[in-house]
Amino acid sequence: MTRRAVADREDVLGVLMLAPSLAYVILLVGVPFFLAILLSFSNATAGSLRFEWAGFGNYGAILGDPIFQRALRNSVVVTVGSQALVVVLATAAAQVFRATFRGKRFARFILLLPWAVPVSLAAIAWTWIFDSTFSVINWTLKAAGLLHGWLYWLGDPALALVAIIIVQAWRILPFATVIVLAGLASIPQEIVEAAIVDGAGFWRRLFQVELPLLLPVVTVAVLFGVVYTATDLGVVYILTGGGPANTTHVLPTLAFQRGILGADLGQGAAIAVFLLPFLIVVAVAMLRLARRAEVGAR
Amino acid sequence: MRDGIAALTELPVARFYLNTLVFVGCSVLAQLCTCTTAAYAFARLRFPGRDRVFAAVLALLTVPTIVLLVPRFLMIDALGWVDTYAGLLSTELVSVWGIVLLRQFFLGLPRDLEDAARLDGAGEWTIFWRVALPLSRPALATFAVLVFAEQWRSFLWPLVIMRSPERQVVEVGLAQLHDVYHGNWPFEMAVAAAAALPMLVLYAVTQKWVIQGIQWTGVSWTGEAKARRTDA
Repeated sequence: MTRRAVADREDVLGVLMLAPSLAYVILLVGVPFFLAILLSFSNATAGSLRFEWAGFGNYGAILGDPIFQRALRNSVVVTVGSQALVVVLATAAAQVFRATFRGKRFARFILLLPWAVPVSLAAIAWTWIFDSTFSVINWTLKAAGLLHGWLYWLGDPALALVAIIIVQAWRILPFATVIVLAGLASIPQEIVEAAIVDGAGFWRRLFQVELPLLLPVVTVAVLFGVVYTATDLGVVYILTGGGPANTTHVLPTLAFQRGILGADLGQGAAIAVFLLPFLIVVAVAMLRLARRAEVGAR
Repeated sequence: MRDGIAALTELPVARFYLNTLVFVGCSVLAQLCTCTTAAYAFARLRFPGRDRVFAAVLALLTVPTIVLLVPRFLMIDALGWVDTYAGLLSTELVSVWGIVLLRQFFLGLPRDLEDAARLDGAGEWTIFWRVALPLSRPALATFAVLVFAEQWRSFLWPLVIMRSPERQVVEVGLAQLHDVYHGNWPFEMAVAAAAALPMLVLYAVTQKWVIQGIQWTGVSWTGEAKARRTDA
């Protein structure tokens, strides 16, 4: 009887069911997070793992480093640029997929493909698309008579950033489109019909009725997109490796290069810590949204 | 084409697949246990401090892996688990994202059945095990598919923690060949297709669940948890 009673008490069971995961999260997210901050104030290297206090030495060094400044700027440009692109494309795609048309199942399969394509295949496909001699984009533009010179996508810092933004937008697009579609479906039909009765055309309906109602949903897509893009290392690493001449690094790739390949753990950690301001803003926004949703649901 | 086939037969591709399947399978099973129980506790059981703890867990959702990479490596290294499956797997047994996702699902489960069970004298554990879990089967399937895909794509951690080529997972193992054979397009395409195939098959079969899972992740945040299902 007593054993049963203990497992059946709501508060006891709640703590018991939560404890293993919570302990794990503290041990493998909380502790490493704390260690990372500690590392950023030390001059530990992969060779000598002594925690020697370096104060703000690492921070001073990276803040004065033009490569870091560039990487910080690139991180902002890539994150903002790709999210802007995604918002436009996802809204457009959701409008298309709301309609019924022939081959919709196939189109949907293609749209969501980025989710299913593993890093290795995407890497090869994209390096081919942006290749200096085989670039599909260049050959297409040439054939259409739109391009007279030649675009060295990954050889030119500005073009390389554009390429990175395109690939980042491609990665998050399936997620964003599905979310916007679900948001569209939850708009009360009466509102849309009322707008039609009042004589609103497609564009007015889109900009004055649907988009304002979609704002919370789009915000969620963007918040996830920011986390996904700002912390990503793979795309830049595979497309440009940070080159040419360290002009296309973002914070994660630079942290990886300095901290792991360059074995300067302290500096690598300090660079990665600069991601946190971005993410704190996102976390706060998410918590607010979640709270508002919960209040609304009750 | 002949190049491609030759390439695949020379490499321990089968071994890569086996490694990946073991790794992914274990992490899916582990996360099903850990995330389900934690999420249920957060969603359905009342205990002091619950909501504050959940807010803290939610905030951890944004901590980037790149920040955790080196400290985790040092911790695993201290245990002597570098280049072992234990080391590879030990960081992937719980996912914060999974807890948040499943909590959202449990919040939406109807309370009537639970109340009926309670009237029949069922305790809290019985309600979880006999009432809530059977109702959650589709949700758990969706979750399993999403975790499977995420783990299949994991790249950075296996790259850092595994040393022996024959213990590597398929994504990293094949990508490392990208460096060696760079520029040999037929070869690379064959290798990449081999890596992509299982994911594509999984995706083709479970498309509906995938879309459902994405919808929960996103829409649940805005209080539209019961949004009408779209046919897309």
